[in-house]
Amino acid sequence: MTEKPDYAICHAYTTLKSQDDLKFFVQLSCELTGFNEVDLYGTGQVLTYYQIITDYLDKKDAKLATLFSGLSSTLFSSQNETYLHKLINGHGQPAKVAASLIKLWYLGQWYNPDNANDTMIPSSQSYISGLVWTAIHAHPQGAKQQGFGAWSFPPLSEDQGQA
Amino acid sequence: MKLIKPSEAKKHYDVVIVGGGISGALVAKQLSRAGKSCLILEGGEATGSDYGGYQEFLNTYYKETAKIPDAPYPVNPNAPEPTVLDVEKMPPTPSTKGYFVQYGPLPFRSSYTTYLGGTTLHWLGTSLRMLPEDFKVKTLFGVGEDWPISYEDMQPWYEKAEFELGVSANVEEQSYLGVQFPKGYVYPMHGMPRSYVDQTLSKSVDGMQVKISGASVSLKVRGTPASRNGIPNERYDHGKGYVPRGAVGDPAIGQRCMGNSSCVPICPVQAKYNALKTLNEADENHLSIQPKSVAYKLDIDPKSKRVTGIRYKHYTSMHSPHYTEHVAHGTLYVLAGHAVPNAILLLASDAANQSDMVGRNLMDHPELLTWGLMPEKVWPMRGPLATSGIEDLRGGRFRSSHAAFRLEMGNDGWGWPAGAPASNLIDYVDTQKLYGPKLRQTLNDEVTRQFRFGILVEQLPEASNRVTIDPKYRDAIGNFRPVIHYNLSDYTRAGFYNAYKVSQQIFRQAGIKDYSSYPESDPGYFTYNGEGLVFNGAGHFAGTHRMGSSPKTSVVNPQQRCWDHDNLYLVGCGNMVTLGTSNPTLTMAALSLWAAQNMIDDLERNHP
Repeated sequence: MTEKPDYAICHAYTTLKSQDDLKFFVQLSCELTGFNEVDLYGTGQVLTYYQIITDYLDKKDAKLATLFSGLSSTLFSSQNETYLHKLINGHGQPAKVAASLIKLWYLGQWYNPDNANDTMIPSSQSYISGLVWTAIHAHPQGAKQQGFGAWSFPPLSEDQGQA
Repeated sequence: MKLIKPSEAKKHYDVVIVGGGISGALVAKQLSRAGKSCLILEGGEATGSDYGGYQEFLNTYYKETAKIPDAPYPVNPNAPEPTVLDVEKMPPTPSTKGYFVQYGPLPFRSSYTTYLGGTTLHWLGTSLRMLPEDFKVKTLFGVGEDWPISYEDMQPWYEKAEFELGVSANVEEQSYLGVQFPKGYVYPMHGMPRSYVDQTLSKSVDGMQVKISGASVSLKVRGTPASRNGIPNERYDHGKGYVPRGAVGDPAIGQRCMGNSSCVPICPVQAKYNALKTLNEADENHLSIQPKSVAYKLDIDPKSKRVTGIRYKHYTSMHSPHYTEHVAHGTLYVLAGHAVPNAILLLASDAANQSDMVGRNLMDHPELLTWGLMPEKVWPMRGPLATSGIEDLRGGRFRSSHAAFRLEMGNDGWGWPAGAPASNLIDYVDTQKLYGPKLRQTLNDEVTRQFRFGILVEQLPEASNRVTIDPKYRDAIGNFRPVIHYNLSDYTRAGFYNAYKVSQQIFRQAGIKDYSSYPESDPGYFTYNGEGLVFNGAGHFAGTHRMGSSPKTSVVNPQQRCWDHDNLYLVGCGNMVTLGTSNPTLTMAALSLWAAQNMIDDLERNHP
């Protein structure tokens, strides 16, 4: 039996390949999730998730920057939109990795791209940091409470718009 | 609370109680405070007895990928519990996948928890009283059985239970279908604020008419009484007010419900009542709690028929089947181990069963889920999981032809029926290939409009729905596993069908687009009138050692004492004659408090 890494204890500082690699990971994550860098760093999960995806790719002798080499450095541009649309609607490895990465950010749960039944929640904090709750203006069940009586009101004020 | 090991136990107690869930805790608190020495034999671990232990439950929940009601409370093979994941489509018969051995023809779908504090660790907190008519359905409607006691008998005990559990509700809103309160009575706390979901539905549903068995009934969205901390009512107890009870070990936490949207499976702040609070309020000079001690047999004097001891197995770790055997002795004995374990223990001891009713009349509220999308955003997944319901169909003359029901409104979107929001996210990503801002927007547009009803349908007592034992089926430490026979009668199915039709009418009225689906592959699939539907479990196990006015047809008398053994009391939902449509915990708590008073009277009569 191989020992599973404990992602609650983040080793990413020691396995971090380069600052550029991390930067690329964050940018790709922004494109895939529709959240910006502050939102993603705000979860506290950037290094943990970077490590999970790197561990997975290392076993395949693959690199994130190579799989998504067509990504330009301009966030949320139409150029990236076209590129990712094609990639994600394809059936290759990048589509599977992208889908797992989106789920990881939104649910705080890692699904092995090669086997969806192989899944884990890296830590309590990753569950709590799931972006799905932010997207629907709710909160993770059992954490980040909105407070007594808040549930009586819509979670937005007029000037915040709908999303 | 004082936790002990077998070596620390006294030779004799006034009362030996099997089970440290709500009914055992209520009995122990009353008796210990009356100066009677009590021992609780708890089969499970006492993980939640301190604040840190309770937080362990919470962390387990966060990390569990299947967030089922038992998720925070891992299965203990030495004190097993059924889980909803065990339930499979039948046949196979018997289904032996989980702790229950299920003979069907339909599987029993509910679960409970065997840790100190019991299933109140993951109950919803709904604390409705039964209707006056629920106590006499045989007389009024010619179905089921009458209780040997009435709503009026229960009234003062309901009040005491509402205090012990800390119920938030408004009396004005709860006086319907004959339910009455003494003049000037108020609940300990004001009703919980209604969710935005409730308010939205209320706008289109209040005053709407539905036809049921030819009669027209007007519907109203009504706040649900809940054992969760809200704003204390200054008029409570003739103006003395009420002080909410916070978390065990850190009472500053949990003074108010914070809307964690996870009442089931765990309230992170313990603003929702759990039995640990009652155990914590017992007099620890007179109450010892002994965890990891599984009662398996009653010793009974063949002549006097009195119970002389309770045999139990004590294990040191849930990870090892190693145990030692012991006997606990007392003047009185109380089985408070839940409707199923109580029946198993009695059957294993060949006790209390001259009526042949032990284990029979197993009931639940088969629960119909209906779900759809509201025309506007209602922002679910915020707040207590349910704050309102539609109660108008809990009673009425139609009960002579089909089951009554109540419609609970969920604040958790499609969480229960469909696993939302994770299931939506996975569908959008894997099937619709959405990502980026479009994905985020789609989640916001759709999940925020999710609505569901959980409709609790009455199930009447039937002798053939039962828990039995079979020497072939035993758990890790050699105790009997529950063997269950279960079905839904035509009376229940007809109620279910009518509930479905009412839900459809409400959906049309409120402009809710119906997404409910009931696949034949679901373990709870059944048909009625050619319509395929699915029932779920509500966790409301009841009826397995019912009370009555005759030893020929019931296991306990109205005092909750066994007809056959005059120093043995049974408490818990097993004593309930019928279930009506109210979530049963409050009624069971009221009965347990009544039982506790009778025990005190017994002890004082013998040793004044």
